[in-house]
This record gives sequence, C-alpha cells and structure tokens, in this order.
Amino acid sequence: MPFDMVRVTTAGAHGVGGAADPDQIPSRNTTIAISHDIPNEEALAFVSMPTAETALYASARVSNDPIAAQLQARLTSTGKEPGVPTDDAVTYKRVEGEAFRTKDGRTVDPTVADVDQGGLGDCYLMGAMAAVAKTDPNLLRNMISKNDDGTYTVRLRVKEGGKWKTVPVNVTPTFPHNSDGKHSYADPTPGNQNNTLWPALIEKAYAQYKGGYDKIEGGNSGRAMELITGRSSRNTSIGSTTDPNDIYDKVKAAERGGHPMTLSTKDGATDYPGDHAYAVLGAVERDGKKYIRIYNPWGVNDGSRKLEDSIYEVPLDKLRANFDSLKINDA
Amino acid sequence: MVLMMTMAATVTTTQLQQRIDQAEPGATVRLEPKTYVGAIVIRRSIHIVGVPGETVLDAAKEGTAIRVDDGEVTLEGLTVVNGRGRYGGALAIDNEARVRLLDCVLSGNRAKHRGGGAYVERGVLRAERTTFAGNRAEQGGGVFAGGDAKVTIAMSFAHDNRADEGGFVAAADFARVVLRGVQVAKNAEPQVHAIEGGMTKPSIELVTVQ
Repeated sequence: MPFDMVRVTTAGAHGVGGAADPDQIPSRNTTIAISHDIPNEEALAFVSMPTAETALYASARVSNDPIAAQLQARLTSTGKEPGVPTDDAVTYKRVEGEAFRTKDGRTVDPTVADVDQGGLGDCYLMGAMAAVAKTDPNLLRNMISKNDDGTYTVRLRVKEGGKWKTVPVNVTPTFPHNSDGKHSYADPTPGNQNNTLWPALIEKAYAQYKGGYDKIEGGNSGRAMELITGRSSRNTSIGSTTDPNDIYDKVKAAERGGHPMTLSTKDGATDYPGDHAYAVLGAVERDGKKYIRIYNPWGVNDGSRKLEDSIYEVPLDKLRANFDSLKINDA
Repeated sequence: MVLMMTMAATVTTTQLQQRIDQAEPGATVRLEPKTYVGAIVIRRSIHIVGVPGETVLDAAKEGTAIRVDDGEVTLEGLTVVNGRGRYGGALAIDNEARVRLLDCVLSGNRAKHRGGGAYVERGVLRAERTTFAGNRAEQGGGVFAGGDAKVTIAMSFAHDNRADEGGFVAAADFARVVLRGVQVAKNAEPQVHAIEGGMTKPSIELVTVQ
C-alpha cells in the first residue's frame, strides 16, 4: 500500500499511556485503546505479530515506555511470518508451551511419536526429525533453546561451499492454523501436549531459512537429516537389480551404529503412500522373514490415527516395488 | 525385416548394470549403438561411452534413468529418454559424486518435483556439448541444482524444457551454476532462475562465448 504512515487503532483494557510490562503480556482476548500514527513499515510488521504483543508494543510506544524498544528489536529479529502455499488460508496463532517435555525439572527426550506432519508436503523434513528422534534425541534437545523473551533459537546446520555452518534462526512460537482452529502444518501440540513444540519449531525455522513454508514443500530427507545433525547423509538408490538383502544389511549395520535413516517411496508405490519419506526404526527378523520397520511422519494425525497405524513393517519382497532410496546419516 | 532389426537393437539394462557393478574403478564400458531399456545405478568411478545419437538409454517411464551414488563418472555419447523420477528424470547425483556429460542428449524426461533432466544437491555436474530438450519438472525443467552443488554447462544446447520455476535451470540454497556458451531457447520462462530463500543465496553465472 503506497502510504508513509498508517493509523493503528485497537481498544480495550490497558488504555493509552498504560504501563507495559513484558511479563504481563495481555491474553489474546485483551484489547487496548490506542490511536496513534506509526511508520508504515512498523504497521505492516504488526501483521506478523501475535495480537497481544501487537497491542503491548503499540501501548508501549504511545506511552514512550522503554519496553517499546525491546519489543521493536524483537519484532525486527523475527520479521514477518514466513509465507505459506497460495492455496492455504491460515492465520498465525501463538502456542504457549515448551519445546520439550520435562519431568522432575529435567528435560525428557523427544520421541518419534512427537512427529505429526500436518498439511504441508514436507514429509522429508518430518521423517528426518523422527529419524533423529529415534537415534539421537539429545541432539534435538541441544538444537533448540528458549530465549528470555519467549522466542526460541533453532540452530540449523547447512553445508555451504564444502563447509558446515551453524545457522541460528530466531523463531516466535506462532504457527499457522486453519479457520477451524486446528494447526495447519506440523502439530505444535501432538497428543494435545503443550510441551512438545520442537517439530513445529524446527519446521518454522527451516521455513524462515528457505523463505517461506511454501518453499519447503518437497525435498531430500538426507539433506534434512544433515540440517539437524550437521553430519553428511549418504544415499543408496534402490533399483530393479538391487538385492533387498543388501538394503536390509545396510539398515541393520546402521541401526547398530546409531545412524538416523530414512526410506522413500516411489511416486507409483502401491503398498504404501507414494512419493513419501519415512523414518527407519530398524531391521527385524521374525520366523525367518526379514522386515524393515518404518515410521510414517503422519503420526497420529491430530488424533485421527493410532500411533501403530503409522508404523509399518516392510517385508523385503515389497522393497524394490515400492521404495527408491535409503538415506543414512553419519553417526 | 526392418522390425527384426529393431528388435535386435533393443536390450534391457540388466546386463549393463552387471557390467557396471563388476567394472574395476575407473574402467571404460563401451556400449553398442542399441537402445537399452531400463534404469541404471552407478556407485563407482566409471567411464561409459556410447555412440552419439545411436546409443539410447530408455528408462521406459519407470524411474530415474541414471542415478549416480558415488565416484567420478563420465557419460559420453548417450541419449537418455523417458526418465521419470521425483527428483531427477534422466540423471540424479548424490553423495558428492562428480559427473561429466559429454556429447549427450537428455530428452523427454520428467521429474515430479525437481530436475527433469538432471538433479544434483550434493555433488558436481559438468556437461559439455550436451543437449537438454523437452524435459519437465516443477523446478528446473532441464537442470535443478540445490544444496551446495556445483554445476557447469558449457557449449551446450537447451530448448523446449518446461518448469514452473526455471524452464532450463533452477538453482536453490547455495548451489553455484555456470552456463558458458550455452544456447538457450524456447524454454519456459524464466528460463534460468535462482530461487532466493530467506537466508540462502544460489548463484547462476552466464558467460557468453564469442
């Protein structure tokens, strides 16, 4: 919109000139009476802020409260919320909670079951998260830290010019939700727990890194494991002449070595959802028959599926017909 | 009579795959002027040489035609058609493999997502005197380069490739693409596209050769 200044008007409890306290952020339903001219770029950035914070910032700014500068710095650091696919009608909602469960004051390891993909086509990323949760949950815990201002820092690992770099991404715990109030993408509260934000935080951090949720649809699960672990992944293509026993042996050896692994289906797979990435849970042998056990990152799908419905045991004779690549991350 | 000759000139890739798997590292495998039907996976350094325009690898729409998982690989004088993959229709490169295409044609291949002709995210691709024609994908109809891939295409031709982003070439993340003396025509617009990300910076350098 071609204007230099914009008038922001909200109405409610705190009132013009009311003191702003970051520890007393008003609830989402609280409104504040303010009428004030603010620069255009700030007004546009309001769109990306949670309602309560928007009101708090506006209030503080009107009253010349020093907290305004702090909030503005936060606004600048988080920037606009990442874009979404054009067909998705979503609104960002703040989810109060924690990245990881705790018990007796200690952080509890994240698990495979925390991963519930939602409606975005980023199975490669969610499968990778589940794969690392299976083998190296401590690494996930170290990947995310909570900041004093309620935001999170998610440390992504990327390879640039042959060298690994750590890229810290500041993430506000606001996530896309549909008009029915349900989360749009990775479930920030899987199993209705509000202390398991980690998959949604990593997904949002990657969306910010790539420039939007719409930019992370489709991808390579090997690269996604690298993004979390900072260690290289190796691909093993599964072709028509691949011996399934070789794949089983690779999985078995990697399982013993504690390597995160993913398995991807072909586009035309018939026995399992196609063009999809799965976390590999291990290799099992029962009654003389070998299987590869995998986890579908659809998970419990917001409670509509049982967890066991997302765990498959793939017999070797169905491997070549349905899957085209195994990716093993270095341990 | 003609039909019999055509039949004799078509074989599956099964024996070719065996020759590749059993070759010494760095060996040269020479292919006859035939159509090899099927896909192949390469996991070692090798030089595969065909007869330009006459040695055809036809993936029969059943998968990525050539997947290179390892090694330094030169593919020379091959025409690759009917590849169908999610990532990489004719060629997919991973695991830091280095692939050189020389006097090849990648034509009529499709990727559901990226790299109708070639897809590389972790590795190096160098194509010389190679034609990318009529390939399709969502991103990078001819070539998709992501991750920290390095791609150089020199003295080559690209036409009639289609994609939503980068009819001929799309680059993302920190991939570096150099197009040197490449004739680019009739690909979907934008024919060459660097996909800027929130914190990523791919580069595509166009070098004109007089």
